[in-house]
Amino acid sequence: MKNRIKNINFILGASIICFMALFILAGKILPLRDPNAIDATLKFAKPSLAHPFGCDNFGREILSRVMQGSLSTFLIALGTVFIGTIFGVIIGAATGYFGGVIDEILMRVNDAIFAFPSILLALLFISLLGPGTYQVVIALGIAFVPSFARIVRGEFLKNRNMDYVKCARLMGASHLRIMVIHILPNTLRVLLNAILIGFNNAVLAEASMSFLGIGVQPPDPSLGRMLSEAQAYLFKAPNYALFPGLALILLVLGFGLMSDSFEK
Amino acid sequence: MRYALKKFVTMVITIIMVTLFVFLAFNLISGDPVISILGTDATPERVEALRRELHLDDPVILRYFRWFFNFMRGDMGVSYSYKINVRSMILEKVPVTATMAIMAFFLMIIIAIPLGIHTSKHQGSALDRTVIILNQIIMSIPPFFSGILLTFIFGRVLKLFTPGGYVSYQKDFGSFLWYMFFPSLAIALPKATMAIKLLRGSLISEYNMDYVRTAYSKGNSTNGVLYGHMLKNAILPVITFLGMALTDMIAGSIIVEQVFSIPGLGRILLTSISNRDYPVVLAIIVIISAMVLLVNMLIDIIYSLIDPRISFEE
Repeated sequence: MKNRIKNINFILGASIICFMALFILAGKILPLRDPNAIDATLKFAKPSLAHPFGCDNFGREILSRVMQGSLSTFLIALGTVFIGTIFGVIIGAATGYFGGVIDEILMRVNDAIFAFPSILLALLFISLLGPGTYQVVIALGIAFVPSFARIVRGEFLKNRNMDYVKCARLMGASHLRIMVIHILPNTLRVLLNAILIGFNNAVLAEASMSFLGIGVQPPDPSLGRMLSEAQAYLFKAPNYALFPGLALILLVLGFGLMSDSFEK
Repeated sequence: MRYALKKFVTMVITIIMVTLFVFLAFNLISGDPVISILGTDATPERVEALRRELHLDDPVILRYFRWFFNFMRGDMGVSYSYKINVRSMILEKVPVTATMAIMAFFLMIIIAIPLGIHTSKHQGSALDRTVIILNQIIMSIPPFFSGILLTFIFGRVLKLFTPGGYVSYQKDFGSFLWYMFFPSLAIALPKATMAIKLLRGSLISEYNMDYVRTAYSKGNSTNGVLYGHMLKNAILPVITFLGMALTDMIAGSIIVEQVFSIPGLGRILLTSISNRDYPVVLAIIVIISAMVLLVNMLIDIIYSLIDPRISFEE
């Protein structure tokens, strides 16, 4: 019963993500209006067949902006998780496998960073690096490293004294080989779950940063920024806030459902 | 008591580490503050005079300690862009952010604990299933979007409050609290859903424990076992989560403040980041960090009071 619910969760989550992927892809293939094209005659056009999601305060096509915005949100999340995973795995594997003083120091630092909300860390880095898309990827990526490092370290610590590792060591395998070829595959299940949760958090964090105006810079569309602009016209054009919000919820929901199914 | 003291010392050390790190980062990366203050076309004499006035030629460690002790005394420096004391800029905003976080925290508890207990007691009931599905959906709504939805529903349609009509706490405390209720709800909702999920799961796994069977066999009622025995054990992982949630709420208030146009710490932090007004950014980050660390310490201590095993183990 429990497994069945988990499978349903996974299939549902994966379908939502596939749907969003198709949606983003459609934005690249279909001959839609340029997301940044301004047309004063279309200002606050209501949703219709010609403009399915309506138009915004500059008469820009909301549909193509939501598609483009979802793409940039997704790419930023991808970059963030990539940085977090790579550095998290390297730090976590080294500290978990070798242990010792460096492990102790790094983990204390890690704990101190981990205790902070990631949005605060990202804001700190943004205030140092300045606002912008790449800066957000780097800021969020750094903010995400500790959580990955912690998870990977735990797994390496658990595995390093297991019989199969001892055998490999007896056979003369180098530390690097043991870490990459023998232990790493055994951490994949946990790591994959962490990556999915990371995606979830990264999408939320990116949207928050853009909402605050320190992420993707105008005129390029981003879901968070559209929501913050839509707020001023909430009563006049609720569709302006609704569609970017829905796209955001679907992205988060999809990754959330998928990561749920990996939990023990 | 020894445990509490130990936690306190750890917190102080962490605060010193955090401030040192943040201070160094700002000094190494942010460039010359003199140019930020005077602009690029200042005369060399004025630059030199200001450098001496700000003690910029001293070693960075000395400057850190000077800044740290001034900060502890309440002197947070002068804002680059507004030329006024940072302390007067941010001190009166701290209660705004704190109120929002505390209110959100209590809202989360009021929503999560009864629902978590109820759904674990009536697994598979209609309410249980509704809560599970709603949970998954609400969890996926970012706080700023639920803020927008709440503004639309309660502010525009039901007209329970005026969107953008923030009332300062110094002016009318009642209206202030009423206005803060909605942003607090926006922050509390996603955290509450996670707490429900956690408490429900934690309680369900307790039902099969031996001590629960023993408690029943001694003639306890269902509620007696639940509230007298199980809750104390099941609540432990939830408390860890509640602590993390509170720290997230402190940081999350920065975002939700923008939705409800509340002039709190978040507003100043964002303007200062875009103005590159480092003394202000530094002060706000240190204050928020201190709040976060204080919460973490209190949670650890509360945890050890509920579960005495913790303080023995360490």
